[in-house]
Amino acid sequence: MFKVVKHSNQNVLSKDGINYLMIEKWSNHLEMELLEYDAIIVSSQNQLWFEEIVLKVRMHQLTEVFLKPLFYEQNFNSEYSIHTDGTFNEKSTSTARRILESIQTMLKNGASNVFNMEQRLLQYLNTRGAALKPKKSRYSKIGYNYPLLSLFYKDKEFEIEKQLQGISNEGKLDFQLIDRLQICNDCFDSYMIYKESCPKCNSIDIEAKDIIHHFTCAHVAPQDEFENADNDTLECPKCDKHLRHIGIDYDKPSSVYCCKSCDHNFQIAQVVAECHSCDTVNPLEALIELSIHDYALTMKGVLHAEGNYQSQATTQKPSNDFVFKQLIQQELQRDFAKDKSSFVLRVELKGELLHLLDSNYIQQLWEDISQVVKGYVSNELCYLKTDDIIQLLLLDKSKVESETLKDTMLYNLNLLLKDNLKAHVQIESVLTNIKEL
Amino acid sequence: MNTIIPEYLNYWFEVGLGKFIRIFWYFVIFEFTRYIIIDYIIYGIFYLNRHKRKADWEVARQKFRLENPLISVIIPGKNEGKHLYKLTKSLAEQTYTNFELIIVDDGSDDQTPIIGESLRKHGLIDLFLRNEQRGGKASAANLALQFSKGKYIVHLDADCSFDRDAIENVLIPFYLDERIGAVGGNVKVRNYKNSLCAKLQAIEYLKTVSVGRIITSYLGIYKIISGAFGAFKAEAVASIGGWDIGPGLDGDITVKIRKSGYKVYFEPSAVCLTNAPEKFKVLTKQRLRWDKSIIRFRVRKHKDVYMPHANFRWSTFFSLAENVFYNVILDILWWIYIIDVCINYSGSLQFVIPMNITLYFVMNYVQMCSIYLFSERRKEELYLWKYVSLMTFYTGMYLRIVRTVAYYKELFFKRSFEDPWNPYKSSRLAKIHGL
Repeated sequence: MFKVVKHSNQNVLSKDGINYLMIEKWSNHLEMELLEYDAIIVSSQNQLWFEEIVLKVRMHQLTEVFLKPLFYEQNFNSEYSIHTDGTFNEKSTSTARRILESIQTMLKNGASNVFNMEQRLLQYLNTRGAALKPKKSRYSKIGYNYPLLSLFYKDKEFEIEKQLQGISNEGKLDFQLIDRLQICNDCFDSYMIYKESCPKCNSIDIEAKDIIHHFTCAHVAPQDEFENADNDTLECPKCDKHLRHIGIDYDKPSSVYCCKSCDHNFQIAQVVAECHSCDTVNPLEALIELSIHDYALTMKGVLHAEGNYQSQATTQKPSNDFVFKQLIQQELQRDFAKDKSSFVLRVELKGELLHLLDSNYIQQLWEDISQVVKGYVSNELCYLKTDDIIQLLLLDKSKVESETLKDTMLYNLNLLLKDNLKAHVQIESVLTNIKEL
Repeated sequence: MNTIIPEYLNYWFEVGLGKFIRIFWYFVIFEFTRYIIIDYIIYGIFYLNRHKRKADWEVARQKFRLENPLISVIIPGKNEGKHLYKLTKSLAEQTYTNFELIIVDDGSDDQTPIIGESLRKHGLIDLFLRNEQRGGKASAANLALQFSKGKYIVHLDADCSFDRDAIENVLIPFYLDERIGAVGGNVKVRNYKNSLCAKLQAIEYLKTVSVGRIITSYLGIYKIISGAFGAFKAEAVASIGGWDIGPGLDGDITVKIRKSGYKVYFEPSAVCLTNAPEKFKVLTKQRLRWDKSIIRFRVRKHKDVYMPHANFRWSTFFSLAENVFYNVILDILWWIYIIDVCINYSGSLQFVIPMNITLYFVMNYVQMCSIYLFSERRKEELYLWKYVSLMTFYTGMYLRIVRTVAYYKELFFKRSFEDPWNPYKSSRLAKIHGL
């Protein structure tokens, strides 16, 4: 039994404890109002209105909203339909309930509002129990698109596929090969025109000729030199004998191309792929091979989507951990010259928005930083790197020398970060005399 | 021993010059005259003309450099892929650079097609042609010829390497005399340190190729441009239809060029190094093949050069006649000589055999001196001097026996047509047509 309540200029429908907001046309005040309802029904009779509502909901910044169950009353056969949960009918309540439960689980686990495609995709797939399937498309540059992602990216199918492969490599998505494409090296378009051409001048005006080998006199020449046009026979230009029987008198051991533009002869024509979009002529070996896959969530992906994933990787002790500590012990027992000592310099990566950056990206950044830092010590044994801190043992230095070294290193590293990163990330370091450790 | 040597010496003192010549007639009449007297006379002439020859060479070199013609370097072969990279590097070092490099793979069943195509893609080869079905070296060379664009054709073997000025020097003779249609390069043994077999061949090459060909070239009877390194006027090769079926196609094309009216020249300063067989078993196979070709081409196929006709030329006649005489006739005469000695001097063999060995021993060293005079690698070749003593047995016995077997097989059974060196499909037809 449906109970329809008039709420401002929208209708509200309650069924089995689920409140549906029925929207005919989008208006901006709905942005926050949507939070108050469990699910949405698009009651619009206009396709454009329908599409606008779907777009606004699925692009909404709040996780709770963009994942909301979304049904429609009239099927427009729009490409946007895939972003909904189907026609509103008897089964919609159970669908909506299942989705809402899934959303609740995520929110309980502290899933925050996310704006990156990866997390949104994982969350959407998780709440819908859906798989990501590519579809052949004439309008896509690579010939395929993922309808489920079409709201997020337009004309960036190559980048999407690469990003999905990246997520898949992290074990969050399972995949199955659907197709393998060769795409333009310049614009990533898959619409190629393949042609044989001269390897010297690239002209396509080439002609293949069969080569004849006359056994008796070992004369070898293109077939047209043997052809006697008067009586339609083959005659050897070297010894004037008739060639009657292939395999007995002669054979055709090969064929040769002749370029009519530059007169170059060759046996293997160069095959090139000309891009229909950007006209780039790609040698075959320069084409990019792109695999198209079906994707489905793995358990790791589900945990990520629900915000439950704890990294299984344990922080391993660096291999020289023992040696580094022993060196410090030895240095502590050493008698230093006046004003000299040994210092430990700790280096850390800090930044307010550091936690928002992709973990892989941070890991790569940390590796790059460590390579630079390593250059400030002469011996690798005086260098100790863990996942979040690098320690340098500065041997037999005065405090001034150590401070200078620290300042120089910091200046250079921060300059490097500033030049390469827009995010506010910086290196911080602490210098400590080993006697104070 | 105390009595044997005085008795031996006493015997030869008492024999007298007349009887000495009677016993060693083969050595005195043929070997000594041909390999000692003529060598030194021609060296003397060379020495006296050295300034004029140098001046003529310089003029020819300038003409050549001024014209800067395109040269087609062609390398036909089967399963030669492993040599190709080294070869292209050797050619890249040449002082003359205006050449196109054409490699023909004659139905290789190894990695040659991949290597060749890869070198072409990297620009180290200008044209790489492959016959899927093996047609023999002649057909492969003719295929290269078909697509060559150069004024001169330089034919090489893939396992050779070259002095930096080898290509330039093999081409300059074309500017010494415009009637020259082909020039042979000086082929020497590269791997002479590897085995005794290779050492003896190195000495043999110095005698028969380096010095022997200087002499025959000077006399105008030079008869074989080695397939390992030879240059041809493109028009001359085209006019004779290129190479005919082998084995022995390099000697055959030289005769064909001579017959078409061109001169043939040997250039000792155009040096090419090749690997000689390092085992006697392999060498025997190679020599059987080479020696059979003398009967097949010089006695049978080109017998017309011995007949008086409109195109008869004395130089071509002597070129082949000398070759046949010093190889085939003298080989038969040597066996006659052995029989003669065994019958007439059976009681003195203990004196005759050591003296014969002594004579050849001395002659080999005297001949080595002439090689030393002609050579441009004197210091390196000093290494070989200690092995010269073995040449008596190598050329005097081993090669002579191999030669005799080869002549017998070819004269009576035409075995060269069955040699797997050439595919059966073409050898069969060549035999039918007497080619």
